[in-house]
Amino acid sequence: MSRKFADLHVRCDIGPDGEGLRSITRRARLLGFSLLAIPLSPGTTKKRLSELKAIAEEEGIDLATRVDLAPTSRDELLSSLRRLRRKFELIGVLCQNKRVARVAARDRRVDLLSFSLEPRKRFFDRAEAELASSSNCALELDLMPLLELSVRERVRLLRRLRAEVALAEKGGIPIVISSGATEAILMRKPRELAYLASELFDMSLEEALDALSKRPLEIVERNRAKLSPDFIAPGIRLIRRGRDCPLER
Amino acid sequence: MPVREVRKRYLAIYIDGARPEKLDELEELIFSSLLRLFGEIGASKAFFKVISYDVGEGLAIIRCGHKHMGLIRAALAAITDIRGRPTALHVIDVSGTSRALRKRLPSRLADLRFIRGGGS
Repeated sequence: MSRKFADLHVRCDIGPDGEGLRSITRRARLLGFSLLAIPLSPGTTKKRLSELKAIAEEEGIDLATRVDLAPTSRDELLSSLRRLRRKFELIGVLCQNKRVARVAARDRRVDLLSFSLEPRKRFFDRAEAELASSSNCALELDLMPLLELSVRERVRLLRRLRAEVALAEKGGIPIVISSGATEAILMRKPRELAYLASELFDMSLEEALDALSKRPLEIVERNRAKLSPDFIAPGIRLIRRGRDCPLER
Repeated sequence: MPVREVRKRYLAIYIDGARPEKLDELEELIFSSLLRLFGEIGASKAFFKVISYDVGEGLAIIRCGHKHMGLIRAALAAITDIRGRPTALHVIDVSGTSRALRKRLPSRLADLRFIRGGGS
């Protein structure tokens, strides 16, 4: 069976009328993706979210709703999570300081951890990995912003990213590779992204492909199940309603 | 049976956005990306050459060593502009022989027309 690919971080402007989204989803489908997530404003209404999903579906793409948080304090993060968790299918947190990074890593409501492109402001160390391994957070790595850095900056960052990937693999933390594309022309085929990640981060090609297909799809599927009205608790869901359910034997 | 010292892979590439004007310019573009990401040792391992390039269609065929195809594909994905104008190089097919690749190319081009038409 062929793989289904997902890009969970397309940062393109979708425009007010949805034409931008239409063009991005069309391109994504032609490049070989079946699921896309575009960060939206936290204030986006549920009606607008359904409209965007419908537009993407017309183009043959499954759109996952995502919000990116960049809190500066623990309280700000927790309050945003309380407000937004039931509304969006994916929550990404850009960890700007160590305190936020630690809280985000151990909170089960956070799906994706991302860090600054400045190596000194990346807090994915052994302690962070241990916390993330006990919750369900994944480490998200955007590829296209890497290419916009100067050679010196990129060299320093790549050294750091290779260490983070090794740490995540050792701790069993899922790695999600995203394009991080800000324009449609920066989007690449999933296999090209996998080759790029595999060469830059010392991952095997199979792991890189999983980071673009299996891992992101698992996260979206898990969250959709949680957001479904049939969800009761992890491992328990309602399978049938109505009078025909025998209560006693 | 004699075995080739370096097995080759042929890649068909479609250039979306700004295009190099000549084959040499395309070769230089890919080579500089390869050199930037993997250095001289990586570039020497890749065993890479541009075989043909059609500027009008934006189609090129390049050759590389089978073992280090990943280097080339990573270098191609890392190219984002030509002289400041945005571009994207997409691998549309891979084959072990240039003849098989050219034979399959028309069917791959049919898919490409959609990218050209509406992918912006």
